Amino acid sequence: MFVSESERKNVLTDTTFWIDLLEERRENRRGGASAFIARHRTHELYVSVITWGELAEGFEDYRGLEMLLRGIRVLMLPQQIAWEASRIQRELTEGGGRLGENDSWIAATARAWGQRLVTRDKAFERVPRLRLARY
Amino acid sequence: MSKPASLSDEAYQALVAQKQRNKESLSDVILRFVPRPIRTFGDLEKHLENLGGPIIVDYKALDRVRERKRKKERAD
Repeated sequence: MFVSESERKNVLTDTTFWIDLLEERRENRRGGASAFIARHRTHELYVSVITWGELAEGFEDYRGLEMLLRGIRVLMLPQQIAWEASRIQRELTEGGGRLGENDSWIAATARAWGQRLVTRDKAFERVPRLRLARY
Repeated sequence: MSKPASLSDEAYQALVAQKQRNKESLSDVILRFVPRPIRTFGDLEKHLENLGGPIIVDYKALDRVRERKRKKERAD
């Protein structure tokens, strides 16, 4: 499959990536998430609104989440993504094992936009034609 | 490099009222209120370095989110 340079450098960041990043910051250590950032400084990043919602569970106050994510481009869920999520679940039902609902939306967003998904969750490996960037 | 922008009187007055010192430009005022876009991981790195204070996070809640995702993974 041909992947253009701009697509290669265009990534969607999964929820686990952000949680790992926050923990690394709290513990003042350079773990996998921080190292990934340092290795990919010129790559463009996005988050799904699903990740935004999952991360929001970790904030009592809206301002905390806003402080972390302000300025980051959040991708919403138009019909095209809903269609892609339905395709993924159908493909995985046939191939064995559906994704969790939230993960299917995240995977669908990455696949529909031609983005690599930055994650260390193994469940995403089962999704056909989903390109992953591990850390 | 600068770009011209046209504001309503009301918006202009609102901006001027937010100037913190005489010499502060309206561009500075806007940049205080409007977040700079974080497009790349390099931008994110700088953003995290420049955060004014600690981010108050409920790590137990985030752990539950991550665990829930892992359980779903195992159940699948």
